[in-house]
Amino acid sequence: MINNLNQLDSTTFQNRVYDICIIGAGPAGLTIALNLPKYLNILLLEAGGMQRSDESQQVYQGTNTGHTYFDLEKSRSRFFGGSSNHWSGMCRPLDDHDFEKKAHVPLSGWPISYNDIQPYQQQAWQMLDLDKPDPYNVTPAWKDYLQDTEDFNNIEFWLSPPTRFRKKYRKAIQQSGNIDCYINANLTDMQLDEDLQNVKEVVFHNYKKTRFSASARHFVLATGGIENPRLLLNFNTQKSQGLANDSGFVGRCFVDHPHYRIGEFVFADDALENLRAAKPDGYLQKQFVAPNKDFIERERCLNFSVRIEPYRFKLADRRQGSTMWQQIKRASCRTEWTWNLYKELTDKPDSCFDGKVKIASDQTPNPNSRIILGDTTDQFGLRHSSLHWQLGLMEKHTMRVAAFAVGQLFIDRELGRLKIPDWLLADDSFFPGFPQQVGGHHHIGTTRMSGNPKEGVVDKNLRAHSVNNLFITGSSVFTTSGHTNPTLSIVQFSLRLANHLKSLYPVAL
Amino acid sequence: MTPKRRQLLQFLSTLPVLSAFKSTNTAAEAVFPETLTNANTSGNNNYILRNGWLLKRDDINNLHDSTLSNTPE
Repeated sequence: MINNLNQLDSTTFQNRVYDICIIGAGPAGLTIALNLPKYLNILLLEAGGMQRSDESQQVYQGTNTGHTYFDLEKSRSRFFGGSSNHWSGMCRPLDDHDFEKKAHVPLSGWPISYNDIQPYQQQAWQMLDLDKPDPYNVTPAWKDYLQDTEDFNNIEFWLSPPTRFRKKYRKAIQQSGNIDCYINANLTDMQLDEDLQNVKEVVFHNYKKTRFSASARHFVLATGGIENPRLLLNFNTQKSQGLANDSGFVGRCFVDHPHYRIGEFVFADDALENLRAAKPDGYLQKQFVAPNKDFIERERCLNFSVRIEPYRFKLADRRQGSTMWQQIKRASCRTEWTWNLYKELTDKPDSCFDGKVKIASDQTPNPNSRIILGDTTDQFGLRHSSLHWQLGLMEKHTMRVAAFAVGQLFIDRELGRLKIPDWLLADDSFFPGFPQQVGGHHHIGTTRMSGNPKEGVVDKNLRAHSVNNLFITGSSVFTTSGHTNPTLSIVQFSLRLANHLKSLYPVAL
Repeated sequence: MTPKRRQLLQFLSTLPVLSAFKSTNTAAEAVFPETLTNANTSGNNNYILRNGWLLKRDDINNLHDSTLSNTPE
């Protein structure tokens, strides 16, 4: 059943105690709701409606005070289905070594291993409609150049259609029987009991500012990597540091996957001829390579993947018979104004490169990279988010390691030559901002999982260290981010949490 | 060696070898967060960095005279 809270009055939930209250109807919240036993009474609260609206989105307004980042309001979707309403569909599980502690990365190491979420991969796969492996349909001659090396593996991502949870799962929620879903229900407080050990009730408002409250035995916060900490930090009437924040880690260790162009390349002449023969239309799909665990440990870097992406038009009509060395010299000698003049005079393609290499990198968990509360408030009186995203030397070291390794791969495989940008070769912590893509819209780490309660917010079962009946899910619980898009992992973790919650209710109460 | 080829080699040799590329130890010196280093290429004589291009050391010797013709500048 899906109800519109705007049409209800404040007595709606009187004397009602749910088994589980889930806040947030995005991929995480919907996954949990749909995979709990039917004998449990579930309250599912969604802050937005069934469509995007300015009224709802403005709650996501916020400020960026750190490294260049996307507009916080536009980076998220605050309505039924959450981020699945705009995601691109790229999926790949975390690597098993992502979960291991790395001596050179402070605060790395999860309290679980990949084996703990691997059993949920197949089910997550089905939820996200990932039934078509190798969507990039790579030309064999192209893939041959990027076969596994001692250091690198040629890896694959999978593409979801992408699954829009709002369209795919709305009917199942509507017809569930045990799920009371309310849209336009904005969480505004979580009240603890007298001992401050358990959440007693949630307080929420519709857009008419009518106040509601509801009780449950267990609560699950699933509102996203920025909103989870914002809400917890705002709920500070009973604990001044905010809810579930005894460690002080709520909002800290915000990471994304820095996306940067770490080089551009020209194909070697023989490679070009081979690829042109194999693909006369000039269209080669991007390919992904990623380092193995030994490489990461040897180079003391972070995990990453690089996307080797030929420019589409290049194989078909590039260069008019010029050689690799002519291309290199042309690229080396150009300045912006001479290059513009050249383009004006020759009307040739606007780049002397054949393609680009982009990285998507892990980040070091950095407590100073964080979400805090801003100075302005939303229409419900809660303070907006303020993001201070930081990139550090370890991230730059990783990108440089990646660029040199890929450059060597190009040489060793007779594939071509790579030019590394000046900013990446400079010994400083400078990173370009826009128009480069700076991140992946992946909001990770702000309620991190930890074995030690002093180093995180939730335990290995996603239960808040300092609140007994509060669970948190989504990418905010990731201890480290790996290099892969997070949605598949979010669904895996949510399925695992549903299984854990089920174990707390072995039979109907 | 033709004058044009000599001229190109001279040009390439004047480009700075970036300080980052000179490092002789790699990962061992990459102690977070104090220093930045390169990986792989340092101390390896097979590769060379010129003007941002990661080249094979033999590349320069293998240049052909024809390289110098028909370039846009």
